[in-house]
Amino acid sequence: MIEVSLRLPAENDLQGVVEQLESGGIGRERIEVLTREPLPPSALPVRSSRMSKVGVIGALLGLSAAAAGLITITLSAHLRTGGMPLIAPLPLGVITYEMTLLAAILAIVAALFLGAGLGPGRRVPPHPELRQDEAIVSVICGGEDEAKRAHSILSIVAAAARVYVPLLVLILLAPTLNGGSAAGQTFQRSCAPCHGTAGEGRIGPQIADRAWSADAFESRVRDGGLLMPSFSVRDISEAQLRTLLAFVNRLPAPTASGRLPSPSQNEPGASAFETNCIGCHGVEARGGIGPGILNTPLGPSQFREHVRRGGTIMPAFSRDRLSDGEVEEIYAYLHPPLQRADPGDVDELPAVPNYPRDSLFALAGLALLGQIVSERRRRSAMRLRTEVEAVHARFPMSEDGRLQVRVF
Amino acid sequence: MSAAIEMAVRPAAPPADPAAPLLQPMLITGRAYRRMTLLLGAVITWGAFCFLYQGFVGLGVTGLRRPVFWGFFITDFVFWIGISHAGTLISAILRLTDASWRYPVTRAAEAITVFALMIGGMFPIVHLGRPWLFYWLVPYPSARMIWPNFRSPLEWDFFAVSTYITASSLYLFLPLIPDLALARDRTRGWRHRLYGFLAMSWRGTQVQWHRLELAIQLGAAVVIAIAVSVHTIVSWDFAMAIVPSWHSTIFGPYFVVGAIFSGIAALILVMAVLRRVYHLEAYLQPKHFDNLGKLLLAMTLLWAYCVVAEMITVWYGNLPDDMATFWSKVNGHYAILFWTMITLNFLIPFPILAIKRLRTVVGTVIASVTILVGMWLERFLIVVPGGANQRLSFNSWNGYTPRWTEISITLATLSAMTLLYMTFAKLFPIISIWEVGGHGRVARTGASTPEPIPIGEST
Repeated sequence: MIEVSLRLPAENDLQGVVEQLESGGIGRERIEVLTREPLPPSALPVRSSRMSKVGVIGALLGLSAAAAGLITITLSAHLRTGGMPLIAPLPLGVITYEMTLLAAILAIVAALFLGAGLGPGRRVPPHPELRQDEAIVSVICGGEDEAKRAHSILSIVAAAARVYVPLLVLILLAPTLNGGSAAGQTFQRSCAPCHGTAGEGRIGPQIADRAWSADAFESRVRDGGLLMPSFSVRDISEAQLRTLLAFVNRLPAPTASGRLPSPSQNEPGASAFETNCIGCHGVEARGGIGPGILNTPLGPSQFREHVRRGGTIMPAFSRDRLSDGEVEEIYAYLHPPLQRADPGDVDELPAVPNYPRDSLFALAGLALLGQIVSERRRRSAMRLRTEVEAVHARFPMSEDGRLQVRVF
Repeated sequence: MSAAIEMAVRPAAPPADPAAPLLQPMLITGRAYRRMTLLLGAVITWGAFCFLYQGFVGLGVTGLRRPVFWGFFITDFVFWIGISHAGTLISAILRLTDASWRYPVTRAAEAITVFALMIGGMFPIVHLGRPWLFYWLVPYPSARMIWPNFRSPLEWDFFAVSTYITASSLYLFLPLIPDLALARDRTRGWRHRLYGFLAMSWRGTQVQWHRLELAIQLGAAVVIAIAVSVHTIVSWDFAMAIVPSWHSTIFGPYFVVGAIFSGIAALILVMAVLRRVYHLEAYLQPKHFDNLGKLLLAMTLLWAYCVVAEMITVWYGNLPDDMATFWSKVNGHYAILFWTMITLNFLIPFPILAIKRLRTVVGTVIASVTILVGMWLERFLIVVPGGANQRLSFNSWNGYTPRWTEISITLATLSAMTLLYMTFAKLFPIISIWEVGGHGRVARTGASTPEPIPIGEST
């Protein structure tokens, strides 16, 4: 199973995040909000419990069982010596009283364990990084489709949360629903398909946090660009354009979450990538006209050859346009280091016993068995590790580890 | 603009972990701790030897002989069961009344309950002539369809104590679960596995929190009902007999009051030791000692009231059999012990607790120590003089003088209690971390709603 989770300060509008996930088609039963301390009930309503009724039923059961047992014993088993009755009203009262309360508290604890899903040996690994003042919104996804949905919703929330959470969750996410501001709707209709729902850049470049001047913005929208269509007054009216400008300028800088480092970070290869590749492969190298090349499976030499020769549509890049060093830099740039959810995850993989292959044990055949077992464990560990890495490659995590994807 | 925002939103250095000072004592074991363990272990070993010796030779090695058959062991039983009310009852009452100062106190109190019950529940078995047959108390037809005698108060003790120990262990365990999960996440090795198992895969989902708090709340109500009944039943061990001065109708509430009284004293003492040894001054503040001191003051007065009510009815009834015990306490064989008890339980603690200036940490600790000694004497003075002055005058051949066996066993159980508590505090957070936590508490009590803060800027 895949868990997609986002860590954020507990003061945030957790209810809002949960509602976003729900409106994204993720069942409420899959969404959990984890904290180190109980949240106030107003922050996140919890469905009510029948625990007190269970306690009362348990008490009644205990009472009837004790009374019935004692009465049966009294009637059927007299003390052999002297035929004295075993029990009288007071002892009956004392013992049934204690048994009633015992059954009540056992029933309450059982209701707690069943109702809260507690019990030894459970499936979902804990979040050791959770702090006292934070909450984790966790989605346990059944399949990868669901994980994708949860991941995209939570990354938008994470992007929004970086600046001003409750406010910006509203500003940014409201338009994705049917309501929301007019400018937001225009943005979602006209810009978001290429520039991303948070303006973070997708096929088209990032437009959020670019401090557009009115002139530059107008000419870009009206005239279009190399790939960008032009929007006439019929598409976007003058008034809409003004509000749209204000809206776009209010969009916060996107997080670096799971994306290529932005050019401003002076990553080697970034500027070369931006000049040469971005137009077709998208700002995030996730594909546009050309295919996605983030974490391309090509080896370095294959990659260089492909760049030099070009493809069916892709132009060839000669040494004049791109030096070998630049190609290498781009290649490295396209393979950002994977960020793991939690180093603990890997530590939890079964250890691989290191049997000395040529020892006496091996000769004794015992080690052969050991080898087989360890080989199996190694393979299953490898498989799990590959799976984990594959998922992590598909679902990038934020740099600060707040947005996590874990396989378990 | 972007640079400024980047600066502002960059995650600040993580704040000092609020849980660290409470987890710290668990992870560091000093030399003093080891020495104390060795010392207590030696005393316990000696006590165990005495118990084995008593088992081999017989109860004759103790001071128990005609007409006094209930001596130190039963005194200890009543005393420890009384101490056990510290915990659960006090913590449950504080929870149900939602006393906001309770958070650092409850865990320490609940742990006292469980261990005092273990020790107390052991004494009837120590007291048995053939302790290896103790399981005959378990209600099943042990031989030829012969059941234990349900009319015996000893059998009621079995039901009461086993119910109480189950309930109070659960009541200790439930609020411990989130802290066990925290400890699981912050430790490695065997501790990680131990806490991982005990934390029952706690993740801290809101459903879990809600259910847990509900269960604790409901459990508190049940535990109060059990605790009151347990000490009432212990008092019936005496009151159901026709021995003069035992056969009293006030014994039920009198014992419960005495139990809560000694329980609070034990709690104050334990808290003072924890505060000193584990440097928990920030959590166990003078305020807590002051509040518990007030409770103790109320219980001193209630206890004195019960003593007067009990004594005055006996005196007014003026029955010769009862008066023999009465005078042996007030002005006879047990007079020194009796007046010491009155001094320790009322005359010394009352002014200390009543005068605000004296109700400090030191003051409440002094009062608690005198009360604990006084309450042990009170149990002794209930058990022994009654047995020594029975109705048939020729029964009064002899008094009761404890011998080294029962004194050793008593001291050994005191050490065992201390050792159990030390071990518990070494293994588990003795202060409820999630309950003393930071702003969540504020939000929950509805005092104020914190402003939303930008991510990364932690409080």
